Amino acid sequence: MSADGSIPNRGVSATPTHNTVPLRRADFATLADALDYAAKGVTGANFHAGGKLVTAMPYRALRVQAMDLARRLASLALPRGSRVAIVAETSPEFVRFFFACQYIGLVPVALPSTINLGGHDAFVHKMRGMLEACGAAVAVASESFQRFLEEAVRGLDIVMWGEPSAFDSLPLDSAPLQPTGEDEVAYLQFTSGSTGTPKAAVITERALMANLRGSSDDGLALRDDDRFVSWLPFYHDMGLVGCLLTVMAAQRSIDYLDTREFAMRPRRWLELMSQSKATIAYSPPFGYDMCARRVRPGDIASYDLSHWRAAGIGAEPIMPNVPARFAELLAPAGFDAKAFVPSYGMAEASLAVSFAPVGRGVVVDWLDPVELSENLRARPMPEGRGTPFVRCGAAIAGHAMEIRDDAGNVLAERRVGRIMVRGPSLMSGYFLQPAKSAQVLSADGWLDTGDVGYMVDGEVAITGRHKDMIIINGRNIWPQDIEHIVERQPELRSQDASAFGVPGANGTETAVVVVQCNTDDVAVRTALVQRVRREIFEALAIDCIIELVPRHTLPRTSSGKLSRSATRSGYLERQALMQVPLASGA
Amino acid sequence: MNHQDVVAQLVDIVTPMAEGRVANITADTGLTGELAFDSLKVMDLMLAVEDHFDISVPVNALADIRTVGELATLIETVAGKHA
Repeated sequence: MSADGSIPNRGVSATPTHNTVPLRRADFATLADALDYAAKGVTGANFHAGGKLVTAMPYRALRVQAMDLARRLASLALPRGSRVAIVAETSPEFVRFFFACQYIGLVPVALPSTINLGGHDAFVHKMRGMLEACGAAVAVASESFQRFLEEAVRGLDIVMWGEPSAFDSLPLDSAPLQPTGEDEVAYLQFTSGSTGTPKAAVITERALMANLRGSSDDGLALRDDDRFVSWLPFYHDMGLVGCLLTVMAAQRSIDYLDTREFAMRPRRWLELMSQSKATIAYSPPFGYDMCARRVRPGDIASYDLSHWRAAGIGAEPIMPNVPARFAELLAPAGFDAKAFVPSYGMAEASLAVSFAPVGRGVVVDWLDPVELSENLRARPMPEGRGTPFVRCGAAIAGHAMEIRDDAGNVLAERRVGRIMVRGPSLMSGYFLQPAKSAQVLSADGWLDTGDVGYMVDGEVAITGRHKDMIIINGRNIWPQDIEHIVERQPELRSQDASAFGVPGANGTETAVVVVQCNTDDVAVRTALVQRVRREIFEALAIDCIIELVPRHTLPRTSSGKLSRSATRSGYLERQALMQVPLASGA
Repeated sequence: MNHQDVVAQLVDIVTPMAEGRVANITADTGLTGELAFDSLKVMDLMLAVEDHFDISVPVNALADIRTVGELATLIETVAGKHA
């Protein structure tokens, strides 16, 4: 039997799709209320590995286990609202700890569970930064993470840390459980800062439940026959909110596949979709692209994707050729291109802000690139000409979006500006960071998403995402993290590095960091570049172009801060100059 | 199979993935710093390693692996446990 008492797979089958209690689309005050109701039925979460079902965890069993663990955690007598950090593997343990917190007013925080090649120190450093930033009172991780956790917690004021089983040895507290209330914090979600200064969005139960209702009622209009599949990690907002909390709060069954297994063998996702006759799965464009590139043509006929009615796609800019290619390739397996549901959202708004209408598929606006860049106007062009952007739907019920210029004026349709969001599912702020919170949340309740886009027929289209963020292999890379790694080198100082993304091959993005360095010694320069490159791989698992420039040459803004955009323009100009003679000589 | 054999087989697996970045790959070649294996390349490498050596490499075992030789040692350890 597994450590958490879930049903191990001995011929046990996954939880059914159809439930024994009526579907309620997340119309609950809190997650604990939602789980209390889900536990009356027979649906639940199922964990798969190596093509087999490993654990079936009906919500009924989850509730019993979560309440038992909650009583044990209560024996620690932590103040309400204390943070419980959970290294978030795709496991029943994560789910059990997350919901145990809900029954006693503790705040779960999912920590990343991916360690890169050679990334031991980088992972410990990141974990420690996050534990400190959320002021964790408790930290839990599976056995294989204990050696990292032990290093990360050293010297921190943590009440208890260890493996899940260690918590099962705590005594049961006899006081009645007091679940997290509507105006208490449901969870913290880290949004950035893997090596720099981590930031975590504070989401209350009220905000979360408003978002879950918006997604399951208005957005996806969940039905009795809906079933989910997910390979997204629980430390990602789409994995946690979209593929755990929404699913449970609407009493749907779900089949989970470990993220690493998906990354190694994307076909497992399609196999699981086929076997379970799942109707809903989300992925960033990256996941659809991986499938399209890696699926063996000979296997396609063996898949049955005909039940897949909502293929959510979002979390990063959508190049329309990605879903188009996936749909074309998998049409023989019954995949319907109309199943694509482009969507827009962010951790600061719990998750979803908008969904394109379910069943419509991808609608593309082709825009005049010159009008777009010079006049910030979304002027349509004939299909196939200009630059394509995907419409991501209208705001979910109770929410509003508007586009503003830099002066804060609201812009008309097809005018490009900052995307602002208002509504009940916004975060309360970034945890213990009032200044950063005030930068994005206005007193009258608008969130400045940092993304750039326009409205058309009431739908939003994103033309530029969050300022400065670089997306590589489906992951968000923050330039601050790259700069931090560079600037901590002994021969450099702060403000010596400026990082940004540039277009790479096939519509991908490449990270570049321009570094000020005052030595001409070739050996020293080479050693520095190699060390920085290796440390960037270990922390972020990306290749990064490193350019050394003389000291005092990085461009600054009028306020004296390094300007990433000016550094980027300079870099691109230097590259263009270098390529001219090469091109003409070829 | 001794360490040199494992290294040699690993070099054969790694070479086509390295896209000619390093002319002569040895046990001391760095997988990230020198061969520039990013997260996707590492996944491809692990897939190839698991298939070739018929082993399952634990998720976190790569945390302390930097070179081809260190990966060979890990493969031997994992294979030994399952033998």
